[in-house]
Amino acid sequence: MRRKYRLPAALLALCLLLSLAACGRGDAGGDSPAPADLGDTVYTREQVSLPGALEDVTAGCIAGDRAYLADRTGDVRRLWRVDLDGGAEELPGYTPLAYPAGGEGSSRISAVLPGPDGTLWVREQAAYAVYDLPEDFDPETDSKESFLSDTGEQDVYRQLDEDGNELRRADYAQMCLDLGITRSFDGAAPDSAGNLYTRYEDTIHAVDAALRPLFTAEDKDLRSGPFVLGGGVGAWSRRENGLTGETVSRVRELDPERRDWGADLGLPDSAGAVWPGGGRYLFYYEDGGVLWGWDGESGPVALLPFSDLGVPREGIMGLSALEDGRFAVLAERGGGAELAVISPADPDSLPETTVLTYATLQLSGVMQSAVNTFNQSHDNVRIKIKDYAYDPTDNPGAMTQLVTDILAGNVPDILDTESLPIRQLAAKGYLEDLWPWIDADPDLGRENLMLGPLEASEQDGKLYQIFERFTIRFVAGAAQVVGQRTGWTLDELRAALPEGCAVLDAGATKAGVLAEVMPMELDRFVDWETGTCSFAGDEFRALLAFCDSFPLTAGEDGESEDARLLSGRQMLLADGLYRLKDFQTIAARLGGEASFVGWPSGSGGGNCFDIHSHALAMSSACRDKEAAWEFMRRVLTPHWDTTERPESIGGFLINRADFQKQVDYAMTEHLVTYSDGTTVSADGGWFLDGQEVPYHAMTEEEYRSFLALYDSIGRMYSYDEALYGIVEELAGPYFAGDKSLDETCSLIQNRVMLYVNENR
Amino acid sequence: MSMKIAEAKTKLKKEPKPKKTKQPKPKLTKAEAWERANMKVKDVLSSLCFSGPSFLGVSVFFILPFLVVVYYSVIRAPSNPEFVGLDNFIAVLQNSSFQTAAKNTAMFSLISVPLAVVLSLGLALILECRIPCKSLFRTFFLSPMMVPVASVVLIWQVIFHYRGTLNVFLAHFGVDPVDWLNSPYCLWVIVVLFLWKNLGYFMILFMAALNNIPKELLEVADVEGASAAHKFFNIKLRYLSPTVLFVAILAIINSFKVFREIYLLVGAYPYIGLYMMQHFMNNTFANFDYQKMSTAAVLMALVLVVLIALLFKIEDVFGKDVEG
Repeated sequence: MRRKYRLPAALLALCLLLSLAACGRGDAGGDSPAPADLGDTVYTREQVSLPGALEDVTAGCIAGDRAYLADRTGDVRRLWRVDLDGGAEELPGYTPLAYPAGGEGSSRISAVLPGPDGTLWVREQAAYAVYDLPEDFDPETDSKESFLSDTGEQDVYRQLDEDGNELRRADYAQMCLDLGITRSFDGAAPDSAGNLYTRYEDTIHAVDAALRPLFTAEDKDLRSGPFVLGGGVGAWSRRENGLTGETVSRVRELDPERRDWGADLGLPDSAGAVWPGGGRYLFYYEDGGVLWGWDGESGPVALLPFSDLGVPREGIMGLSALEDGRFAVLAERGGGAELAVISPADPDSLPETTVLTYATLQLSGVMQSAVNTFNQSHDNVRIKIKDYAYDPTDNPGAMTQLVTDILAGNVPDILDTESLPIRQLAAKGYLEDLWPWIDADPDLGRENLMLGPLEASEQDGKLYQIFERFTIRFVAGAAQVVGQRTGWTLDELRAALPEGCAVLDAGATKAGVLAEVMPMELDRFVDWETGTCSFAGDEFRALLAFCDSFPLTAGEDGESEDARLLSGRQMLLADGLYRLKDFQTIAARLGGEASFVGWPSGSGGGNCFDIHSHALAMSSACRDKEAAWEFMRRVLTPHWDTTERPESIGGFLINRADFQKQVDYAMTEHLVTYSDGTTVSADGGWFLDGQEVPYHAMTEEEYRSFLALYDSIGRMYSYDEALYGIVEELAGPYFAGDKSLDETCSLIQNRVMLYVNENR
Repeated sequence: MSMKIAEAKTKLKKEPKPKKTKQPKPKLTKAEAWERANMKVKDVLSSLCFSGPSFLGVSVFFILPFLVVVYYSVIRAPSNPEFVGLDNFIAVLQNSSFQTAAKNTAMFSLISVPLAVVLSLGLALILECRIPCKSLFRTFFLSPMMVPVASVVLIWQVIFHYRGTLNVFLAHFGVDPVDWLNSPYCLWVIVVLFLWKNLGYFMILFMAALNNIPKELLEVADVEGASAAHKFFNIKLRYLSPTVLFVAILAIINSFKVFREIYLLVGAYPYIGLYMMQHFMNNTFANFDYQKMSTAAVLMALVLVVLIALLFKIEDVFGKDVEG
């Protein structure tokens, strides 16, 4: 190359390289922080002990190095101050809202917010009734309701000092009344000047300390807020353009001096939830699995991996980045709360740990707590949660991300099987058979478990997932109509159907019945060994024709399903059984003894189990199977406190001892006596054709019938989605009358053959 | 003019190749040899500055991923990277779904590619003539390129649905409705779609190539009394051979990409006649069967390489004497 061209050539190449370096994520939402560089810092999590007297926690926040919690025990409402380093006390100066003279009712603190100079704002809501009782009022014989003189409610914001003494009060209900708006569920947020901000639809309304209107600010894309933002108040706005995909996400400050929106703080379009901040950080948000804080001077700062907080995103009541580098998080947990401090630690000082990945497409508080408990009780093993689905911009990407991880060899060690294609994963050898682990577990063993649902969920004789609770999907008819049996074929159904009687309720449609009947039957028409299908055969044709016998669209005849069943105009009841006490309703709804015949099936058994809790699976390439099993086994061991109200738990427990406790509870009469001497069932009642029927204790006969139903079921409600998708898609034109039965079955056979041969 | 004709005549004749004679290499001093080597290194480095970013991009986004695919095709599973040799290839070749997909893909390419080449060349020749509204026709044939795929699919569904426009039209003539996409005619529906989408672009390429044919040769042929067919096959087609190769390659590539339209029209498991190679790969990926997917991809790449090499060879034979 000639010398005179070399310099321009080199400059051109440099420009090209520089242009590559400029490639990056462009956000329409404002400043894009650099990818989070959290370094090698590791964090340890320590739970802060909360007062044992804490009952129903209704609100809380973190202010500085303290947490404030409001709880309610019966009629007693309390405010607590908890030091993050230990120690808690009730705020001595706090007194709940008082009712008018003679009034009684209930109240709760529904929000606790940090105020300026160590003060607190609380939102208290109360409903009361005032009775004008005469002097000779006898509670044994007289009814108080006859002397009701007034009712009312209160909804106020109270600013309290650090001991809980009230400094000022703002009547939120009156404020909204004056503004002509409906009270917001999220209430209002105060700024340091005592102005209050509340939201109604797309508009933020601001009032001054005397509740006089200040200004309004509108934004059609508000996601949350108003919330406290340093000394001011802000709201989170997020706009997505469905056509262009452009997203604008920002936290907007409210400026009382300008009487309008103030500064906009741009967030990346993938930012998740936003939480109010305090101190150095105006607010916090989650993006890319990292918790970020917005520094008032320097903008977004990456703080720590979100999963290290050890709480799910929903239910966070307070977050705080402390001056010493620690973090505090306050979150709802059941009816209570959980307060934890996350501290940076020197990796070299920590014992070597094996990190197991727990993958889920739907993280729940229950599983988060289970992971926290496990991590706190184990030094050399740690479970790290990978929540694939939490991506506000692209939920379908969750499965793609999981598939990519598996493809790259990064199979998660433990998987939450909800929404996962377990069949395919198991067929490809990615999952561990769990029967050997159950059999080898000294505290478990098959005899301690309700084996029916577990055996029903086997695949090729192996168990790939375990779960805590199950339910029963059933179809039942009156025994005198359908006969005493636990399964039948289509021909038997047709033979039993009385003249002028419908099979199901008026809402049953072709597509609806197909969705119920077909998924469980598909496997019978596929022979995976030989790669043949029989969808063109008589049996499948008959099943499809049965689905076609229902109306195309749901109808209404003005009669309830119970009335149709009792009058004999409907033969079958399709429902789910979630509690033992609901078993008694079935016979009553059918007008006599029930026969659980199930959907018509070639195999004879048309009822099935269904999983009613999280189900866990272990990867066959798990890094530490022993530790993974130790985490997973909690699902099968007796760990529920079933002495309280086991019937409040939906589903039947898989642990036999726990299930027996459910049975014992169901077979015991629970009564409550009111002050007027009335005794009623504590389990409440149910409605039969509009009439309330109280629950009674389960009888021996009912329990035997339940066990007979349980023993008759050999299937789990699960199916091949791709296979069902093919049938469902091709059945549509047949149901619409565009295709004949023969053509439809032929097409289904044609397409399913492709699928079957692909997977052999 | 006669000079030009004479020159043109001589062009048609094959020129004898000059005899190669070996020239003795001049002796270089050490400094001159060092200088020459230095220049060469500098030239290479300068060239790398230009080509480096492109080469890097191609490596990262094409070559390396393909090597990963080849790796996956010879191991048992991502979580169990045991080398299995050609076992995956044997399994895939014996898989009946793969055989169906390969057969359908080959059939589609065999029908659509020659049709695309011939029809687009024909259109280019027609538009080359003096016909009225030539630019209007050109725009008309080019406009399908601008239509988004989703709109194309929607249009095709409206036309070829069981209750679509075509069946309504045919009903006027007493023809029973046909479910075109679920019948043996399904392949022709996609062939029409493919031709409709691609003819315009190929036509433009041919039109540009036709403009580059030396006019003198055609004039000479006219003078010599050559027929239109003779002129076409012996002059125009020879000069068009690089373009025919290019269009054929493009048509082959686009014929594989027709999976996108088929997938949007009929989903992951279509009527057996529309089940293509990419369906097989797409579905096996969704079912976590990465080995089958990778193996099928490698096989398809090998077939394409052989096919394109063959096309280059054919072009080399037919178009050698017209290359610059």
